[in-house]
Amino acid sequence: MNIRQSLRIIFRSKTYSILNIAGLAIGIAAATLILLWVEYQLSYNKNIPKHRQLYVVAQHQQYGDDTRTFFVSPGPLFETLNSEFPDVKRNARYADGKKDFSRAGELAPVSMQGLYADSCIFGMLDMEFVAGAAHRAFDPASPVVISEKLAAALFGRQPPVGEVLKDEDGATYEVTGVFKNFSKGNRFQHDWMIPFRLLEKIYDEKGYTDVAHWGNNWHSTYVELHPGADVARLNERLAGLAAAKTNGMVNHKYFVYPIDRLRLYGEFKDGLETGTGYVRTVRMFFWIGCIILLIACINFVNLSTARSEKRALEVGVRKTFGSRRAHLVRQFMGEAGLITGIALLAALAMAYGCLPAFNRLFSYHLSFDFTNPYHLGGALATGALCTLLAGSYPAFYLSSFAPLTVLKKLKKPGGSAAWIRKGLVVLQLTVSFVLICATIVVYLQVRHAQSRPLGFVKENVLLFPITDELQRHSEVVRQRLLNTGVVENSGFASSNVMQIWYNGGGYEWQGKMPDANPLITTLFVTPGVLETLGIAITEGETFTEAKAAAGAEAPMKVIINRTLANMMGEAGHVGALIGQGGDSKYHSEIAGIAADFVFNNIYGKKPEPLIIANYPSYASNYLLVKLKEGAGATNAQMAIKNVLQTFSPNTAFDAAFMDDTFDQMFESERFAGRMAGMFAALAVFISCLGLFGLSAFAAERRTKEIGIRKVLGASVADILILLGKHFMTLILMAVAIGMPVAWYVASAWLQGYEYKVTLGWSVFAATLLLVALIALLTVSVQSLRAATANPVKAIKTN
Amino acid sequence: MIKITDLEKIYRTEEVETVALNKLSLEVQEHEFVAVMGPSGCGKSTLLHILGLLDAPNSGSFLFNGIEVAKLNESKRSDLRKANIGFVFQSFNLIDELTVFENVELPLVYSKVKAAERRRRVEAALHSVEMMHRRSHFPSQLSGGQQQRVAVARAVVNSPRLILADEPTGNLDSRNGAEVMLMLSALNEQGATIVMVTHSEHDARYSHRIIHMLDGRTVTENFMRELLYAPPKKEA
Repeated sequence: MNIRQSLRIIFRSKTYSILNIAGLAIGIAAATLILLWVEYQLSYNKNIPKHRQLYVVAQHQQYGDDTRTFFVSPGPLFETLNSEFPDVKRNARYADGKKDFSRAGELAPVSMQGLYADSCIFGMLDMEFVAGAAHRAFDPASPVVISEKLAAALFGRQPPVGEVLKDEDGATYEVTGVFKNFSKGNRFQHDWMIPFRLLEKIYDEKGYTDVAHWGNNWHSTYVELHPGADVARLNERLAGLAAAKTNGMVNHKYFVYPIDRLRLYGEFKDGLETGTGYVRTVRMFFWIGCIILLIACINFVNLSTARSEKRALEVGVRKTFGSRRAHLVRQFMGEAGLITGIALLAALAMAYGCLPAFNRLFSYHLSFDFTNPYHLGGALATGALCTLLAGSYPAFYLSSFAPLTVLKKLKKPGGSAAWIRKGLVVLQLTVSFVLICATIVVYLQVRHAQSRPLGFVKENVLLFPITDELQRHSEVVRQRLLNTGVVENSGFASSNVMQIWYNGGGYEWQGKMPDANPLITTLFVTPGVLETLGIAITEGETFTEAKAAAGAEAPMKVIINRTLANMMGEAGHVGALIGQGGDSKYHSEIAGIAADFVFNNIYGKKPEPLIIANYPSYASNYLLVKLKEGAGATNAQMAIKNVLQTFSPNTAFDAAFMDDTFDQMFESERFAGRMAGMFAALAVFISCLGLFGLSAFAAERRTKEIGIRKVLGASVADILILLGKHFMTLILMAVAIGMPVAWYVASAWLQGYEYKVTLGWSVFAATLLLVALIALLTVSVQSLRAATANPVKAIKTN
Repeated sequence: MIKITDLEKIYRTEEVETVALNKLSLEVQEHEFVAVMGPSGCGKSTLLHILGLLDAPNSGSFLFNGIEVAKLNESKRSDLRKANIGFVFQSFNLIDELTVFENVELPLVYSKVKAAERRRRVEAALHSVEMMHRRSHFPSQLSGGQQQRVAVARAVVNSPRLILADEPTGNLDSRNGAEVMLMLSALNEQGATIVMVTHSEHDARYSHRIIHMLDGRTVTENFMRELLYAPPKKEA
């Protein structure tokens, strides 16, 4: 191949080359971004040096026929794993947390996420300490190790080790070490670590749970196995551990699950990986990336074969003067390689330039690293793949022209290629149609779920984190908030109500079938929460006064939801008793029945059974505040903050609006929708580049015909119809194929949701209109130019 | 050099069968300059394409330098063609994207001639047609006459034993046409065998022999130089 000649051929056919290079470059750039994202997801947690040995403890719990899987552990497991399981090198208990740290008497607090964990986690995660010694970091009574980031935020350039930090509850911690910030791309993005034993102490002292009971799962556990450990055998032993330790009282089946798989595959149903976890989204986008590349390559094929008439003479002459077909194939493949090479460089520049915006848009930290052999190899492989995909058919097609046929102009080349070209255009339009449909369906599904009747009012409700001090004075806090004049109602709760993580089995009530063991969720509240959220009490009464903590003799008052009432049958009425087995069987009295409201599974159709307990000491995570109508959000927040900071001056009290928090529950769908929408738009744009090129060639080839028709009286509209008719047929064919495909894809995606939008014809009709409009506008540009050209000139020049 | 016997070429479509060459026989000697004339559709171009090994006959014999080539496959025909035959077309058939030099160089590239030798031979060919000063130009920057001169240079650059010219002056004015004919005559005098298809009586007079064709057969032969005519001198 003569590179200089090939380059000249490329640069002399400007329109063709620009369309080809632009289409390929945009396609490769889009695919590069997608593949970087896919790589990020596939390698999630794999940048932890010992990731292959690291596991998280999970357990299957049986509730009737229902097997639920949770990534939680009971307190006694820690010692048992260390002492009875030789495959386990070490294990660390952990619980995530958020703290507002401040230096004693200085500056505003800094709020960051962290981890309560056992010290062996330093070694498991190969954490590097830039100050202090890891092996002695947790020796003091109340230590904390902090990240470089938190150290910089709190201490600037001063050495932090030995300094004392205060949290929002006034507890003090001695800084014993500073660790290097965790690299991105794993779940360990924590900025502080406090010994797990301190959390254990809090739980124990406050009576949150019996920390030593096998049935109480109140933390999580990371396990490091010895290399070569027999995981299947270990899991077999773990499955029977709880039953063995509790004489069959607790039958939770533990197992260890690789942290490598956690993000993509860690979704279980009936005790098995569903295979439809996040990996489904990753796969979907991988294929979208491939499809976009394919669309770009189709452009190349179509534009190359469309201008075959222009290249035919060259092929004829070259063959006449001795060129063999293989030589021509090499030449055309070389040209394809050159175009792809130029497009690849442009694509990498584009992807590199767009990456910061992409990261901002989707909150990622993707990077393209030319020194990374996978990135460089991937880019080169993509270039090679595109060359093969895009160049092969045109090379073999163009080189097949018989010299005599071409030189004698016996027939215009392109007969068979024209059919293939039409097929490929239909394929492009079909894919565009399906992608647009999918984007619309994702958007409709999110909107459908967002606007569903929730059973509570989320508007104008603020969520504040709470401190021990606030919790201790919950009644006073509430009263002072009401006195501000901007608060309509408020209350404390154990969760934000939309996501309630406390649940359990083993409940008893009068007349319960012996083998029934539903998993029941519990929300702990103080009076005022149900009113704050407008949750309707359909029977009985709401909570009016704080009930004394556990241990009181009178049964605790609870409100149950309608689903649980129905599940309890005849016992599901006000005044009936319900309890969680043990000695104090039936220790709670049903004070009221609340209408069902949506929680946890926002796409669930059937509400889960729920107990709402008036239990202030457990209602320790959120303060919910309903603002009065017309109270300005900023001023109201300021007024509330002032009240709260009189109790806990060291706390930032950054509030979140409940509807914003609710919206965040749709983040993964919205992300999928945004990504699908963006890449669907790119796919359509690339297809349009191809259509634009094809319409230009079609108009050029028919210049003389158009001229003659105009001389004979055809109007501009007649010519537009003449040229558009061909493309309209292709669009309609694409829609005919795309509609069932889109329906199938959308239905398969929606199957993952119980509460889902109904697919109507309007989705397809809207997509049809959109695709047809865009495609026709694209081809009309060239058609209009041909239709308005001077016919005399057209006839003369032809 | 060329001996064809009972050559037959039939073009078939779904509805029509056209006999382009009908049991045609003829011989062309080495160093001969033969003009083929006849009305449109008489089969003269088909004859030229078969002589140029661009097409194969349906039946009959075609001996090229004593080798039977009528049944050769495309690959072997291609090898014989690039080693022995040069072409001049009515519409020049230069490749627009290649410079004058690269167009002339093309047959040498496919004959795997080394670069230095290629350069020498291309420059010699361009000198011979007085186009050396245009070596870096593209065909679109040349007049029709200049393009045909480049085409002639391309036809002779590989020193072929046979030059086939298909109405070489058909797209040229009379002055440029005469120049091209004089070039072909000169090449013939230097030893090349030339078979030229033409409609022009004037051009045909440059040849040694005119073969008249009708309906795929030869009808008459005129031996020009010996009997009638001396070629016209180059015009001042």
